[in-house]
Amino acid sequence: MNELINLKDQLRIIPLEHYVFLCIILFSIGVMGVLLRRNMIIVFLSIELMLNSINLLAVTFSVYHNDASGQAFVFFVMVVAAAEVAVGLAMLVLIFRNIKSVDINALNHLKW
Amino acid sequence: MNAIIILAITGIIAMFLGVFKKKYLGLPVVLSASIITIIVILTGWSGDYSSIMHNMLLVDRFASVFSVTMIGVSIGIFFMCHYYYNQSIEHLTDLYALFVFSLTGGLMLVSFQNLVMLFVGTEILSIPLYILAASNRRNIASNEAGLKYYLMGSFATCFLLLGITFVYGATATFDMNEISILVNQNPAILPGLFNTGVLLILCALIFKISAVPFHFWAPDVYQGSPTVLTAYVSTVVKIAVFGAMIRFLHNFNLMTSDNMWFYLIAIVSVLTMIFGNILSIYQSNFKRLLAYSGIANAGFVLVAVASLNQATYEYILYYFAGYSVPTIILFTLYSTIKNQTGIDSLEGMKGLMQNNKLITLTMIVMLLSYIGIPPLAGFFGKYYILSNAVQAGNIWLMLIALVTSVLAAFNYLRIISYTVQQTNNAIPTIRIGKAYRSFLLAGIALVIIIGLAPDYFIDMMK
Repeated sequence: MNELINLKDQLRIIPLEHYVFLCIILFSIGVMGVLLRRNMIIVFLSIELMLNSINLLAVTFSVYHNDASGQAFVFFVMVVAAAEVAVGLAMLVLIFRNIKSVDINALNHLKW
Repeated sequence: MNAIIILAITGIIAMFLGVFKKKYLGLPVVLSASIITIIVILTGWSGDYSSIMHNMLLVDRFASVFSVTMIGVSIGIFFMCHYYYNQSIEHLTDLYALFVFSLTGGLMLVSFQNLVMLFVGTEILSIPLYILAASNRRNIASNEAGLKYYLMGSFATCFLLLGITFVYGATATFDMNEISILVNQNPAILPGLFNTGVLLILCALIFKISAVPFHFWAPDVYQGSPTVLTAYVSTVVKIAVFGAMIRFLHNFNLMTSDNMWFYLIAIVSVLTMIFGNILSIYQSNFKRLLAYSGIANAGFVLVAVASLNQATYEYILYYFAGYSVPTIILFTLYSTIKNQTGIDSLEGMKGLMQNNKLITLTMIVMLLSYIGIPPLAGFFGKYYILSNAVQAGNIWLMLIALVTSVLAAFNYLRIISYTVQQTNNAIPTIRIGKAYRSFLLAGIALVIIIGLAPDYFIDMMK
C-alpha cells in the first residue's frame, strides 16, 4: 500500500502537462498515419495508436484526480477497440480476396 | 432498460435461427420483438423515470419517445430487408441480427446519462453497420463502402473519445448530471480543456449525422452499400445521433444564449443545407442524389437543434417520422427498379410512368412529401422546425432554410418530370407482388396520415 502511494507521488512529480502533451503527440502521429499512409494495415495500426494514446490520457487524468472511473473507462475503450479491429481485419481479408491488394488507393470506384 | 435487454436478446435469437436453419422465422421474430419492445416502452411511460445502473442510463420521456420512433422506423426497414434480400441468401438472419444490435446501440445512445455510455452506444450503433455496409461480399463497391465507413467511423470515434477524456480531465467525472452542475455553477472559470472536449465530441456527432465539414464519406458509403443499409443509415442512425446530440447540448445548457456553441451549430447547419442541396443538383445517380438530400436534411434538422428549447425534440421527431417513411419507400423502389432493369441513373427513370403506374404514383407522392406539399407529412415537419426557429429568434437561419428548400424542391421536381415524360424506350413493366403493392400503399397512407394529424402526433409525445 505504501509503495502504491509512493508511486502516485512519484507520478505527480512530473507535471500533468507533460502527460497531456505526450498523449496529444501520440494522437497526432496516429492522425497523420490515417491521413497519409496508404497501406490498410498501417492505417488500422494508426487508429490503434490513437485509441491507446487516449487510454494513456484517461489513466493520467484518473491518477491526477484521484478518481477510479477514468481507469474503468480504459477497459471500455479496450473492449470496443478490440471489437472494432476484429471487424476491420475481417474487412481487410475480404478486400484482399477481391482485389489482391491492401492499398487504399486501389479502392476508388465510388466517386462523384 | 427492459427495451434494451429485449432487443439484445432478440438479436442473439435471430443469430441462432440461422444456425438452426430456420430462416423463414427471421422476419416474424424480429417484427414481434420490435412490437413487444414498443409496448414495453409505452407501458413504462407513466412509470419511473429513474436512472439505471448508477446513472449510466436515464430512461425518461425524451428517451422513450426517441426509442419508439426508432423502433417504428426499424419495422419499416425490416420489411424492406424482406424485399431487398433474395430469400435464398445464406446469412439472412444474421443481417436481421445486426440491424437489431445496431438498434440496441441507438436506444442506449438516446438514453445516455454518462459519457461512457455515449461512447459505448455510438460504437454499438456503428460496428454492425460497418459489417452490413460490406455485407455484399463479392461486390467491390460494397467492400469499398464498408472500408470507407469503417475507417472514417473509427477515426471519428477516436475524436469522440479524445473529447470525452478532455471533459473528464476538466471535471473529474463522466456523469452528465455532475458535469452540468459544475458547468452551471461557474461557467466563467471553465478551463479550455472542457471547451476543447465539447468541441471534439460535437465534431464526432456531426460526423455521424454527415453534416458538412465531415460529410465526404456519406455519398460514397450510401452509394456502395446495400440499399437497406443506406435507408437505415439515413433514418434510424440519424435519429439516434440527433437524440444524443440534443441530450448532450440540453444537459449542459449550451444552447441557451448566443454563445459560441450556438454559432457553431448554426454555421454547420447553414453550410450543410447549402452544400447538400447544391451538390445534389449535379448528381446523375438516383441513390447518390438521395444521399445528398439526406445530407441537406441533416442540415435542416440542425436548424432546430440550433434553436433548442423544451418542445424542440417533438418537432424534430415529427420531422423525422415524416422524413423516414418517404426515404424507406424511395430506397425500396430504387432497389426494385435496379434489380429488375439494371437502371440506377436519373436519366434512366424517363418514361417510368408509361408501364408502371403504381410505382410512379408512389414515387411522386414521396418526392412531394420531401418537397413539403401541404397534405403530406413533409409539410408540417418543415413548418414546425421553421416556426420553432422563428420563435427562438433565428430568423436568418429560417430564411436560409427556406431558400435551400426551394433548391431541393427543384431537384425533386426534376425526378418527377423525368418519370412522367413520354419516351419511346420506356422502362418495361416491373413485376411486383401483392405484398409489395400493399407495402407501397401503406407507405402512401402513412405519409398522408402523418401529414393530416400533426397535433395528434405531437400530443402523443408529451
